[in-house]
Amino acid sequence: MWHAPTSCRAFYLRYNGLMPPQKSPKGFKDRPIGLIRRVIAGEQAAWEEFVNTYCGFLYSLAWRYARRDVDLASELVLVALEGLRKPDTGGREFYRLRKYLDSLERFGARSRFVTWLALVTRNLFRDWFRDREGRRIIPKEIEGLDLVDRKIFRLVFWEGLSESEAFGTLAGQKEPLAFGDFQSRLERIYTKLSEKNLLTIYQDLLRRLPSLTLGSPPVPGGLCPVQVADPRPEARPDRALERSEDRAIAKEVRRVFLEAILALPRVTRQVLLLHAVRQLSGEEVRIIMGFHKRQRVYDELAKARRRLGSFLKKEGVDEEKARRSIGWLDGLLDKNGS
Amino acid sequence: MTCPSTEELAAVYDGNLKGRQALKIRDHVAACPRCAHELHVLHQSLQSVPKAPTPPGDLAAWALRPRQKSWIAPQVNLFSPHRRPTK
Ligand SMILES: [Zn+2]
Repeated sequence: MWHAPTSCRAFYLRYNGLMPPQKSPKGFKDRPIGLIRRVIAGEQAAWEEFVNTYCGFLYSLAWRYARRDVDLASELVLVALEGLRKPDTGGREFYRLRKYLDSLERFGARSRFVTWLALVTRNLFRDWFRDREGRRIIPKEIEGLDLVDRKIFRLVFWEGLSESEAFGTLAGQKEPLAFGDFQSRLERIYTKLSEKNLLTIYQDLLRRLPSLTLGSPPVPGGLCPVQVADPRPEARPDRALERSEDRAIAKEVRRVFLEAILALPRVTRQVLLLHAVRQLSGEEVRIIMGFHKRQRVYDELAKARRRLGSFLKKEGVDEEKARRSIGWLDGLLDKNGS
Repeated sequence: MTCPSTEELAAVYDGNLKGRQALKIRDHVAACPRCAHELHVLHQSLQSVPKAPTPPGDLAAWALRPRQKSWIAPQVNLFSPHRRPTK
């Protein structure tokens, strides 16, 4: 049988008796029925008023879940608003708000709007986190590796650090890792990952694209220069971009970019991944891909740039914005000569 | 009885559920660990609201920014790239 934690038990016992009605915080109507009706009717001004009124409240709720991460809290507010907008199976928007109104009008469950909103929002956050965790199940192939390997996997694929940042993080520990060891471990991780998981990695690549501008692009033929980056999350350039006014734009560019990468021929895609993400030299990529000549690597990279460029153009992404988001690729490919 | 709806549970918290329905739901909540937990977390959430900082000034504007449809990539099944939908 289930036993509630003491605090929980005490809490629901309080609610077993008749409770006096609670009051809404200052500035909030108990039941803003008029506003909700206008929102449901599709009035844009009403939705704007709704967002302006409840944005701060939603942010406060999100704050607890985001563990003081401003960006994540903002993201969660959008998650909540999207959840409120969500249509029912018949395609009518705001089905949650409709349910709230129904409950007032038909069932006589007269909760305050903020109480209801807090409860709904928590469910939306929980689903969102679950969904995110679901995408983060450790692949079977990685489970079998040792602790350090799994740690590298986490840093690179989950926390979205670039490989040099991951190395920087591990090098700063009590038992620092030699760079050669780091590289061979990374090698092992990549060879263990199946094609399916590699696609998840492409998606991660997109999330941290701008962070790849760290340091200089690899020199073809030579050993790749690894710059030990400042491992603090706030030092990551992609975070700075996320915070800037362009974060929404950057997000969209990256989304289109993911599409573009998936549309590349398989060989081209692999070369791009090995060279741009794993920062392997042209010669290393040649060996892994089994090409006879190194020039083939540069030809594939040039092809990738052409295709990505025209894809972005076709999707109507402004050239300047695209360049800002994928500037690293431009620089990388220029250097190799197309 | 199955767990009450979000709307009913919120009304339970506010002490605004009247009549026989209220009694039934309260009985349920007292016996159901899931609902009790939901109420507990709801309580904590509402308690923490006044302690949270104010959101970034542009958050509402950002949330209201129109979504540019032309940029939104069609749904891609990440796990089978070789069967992408053709446009
Ligand atoms: Zn229940």
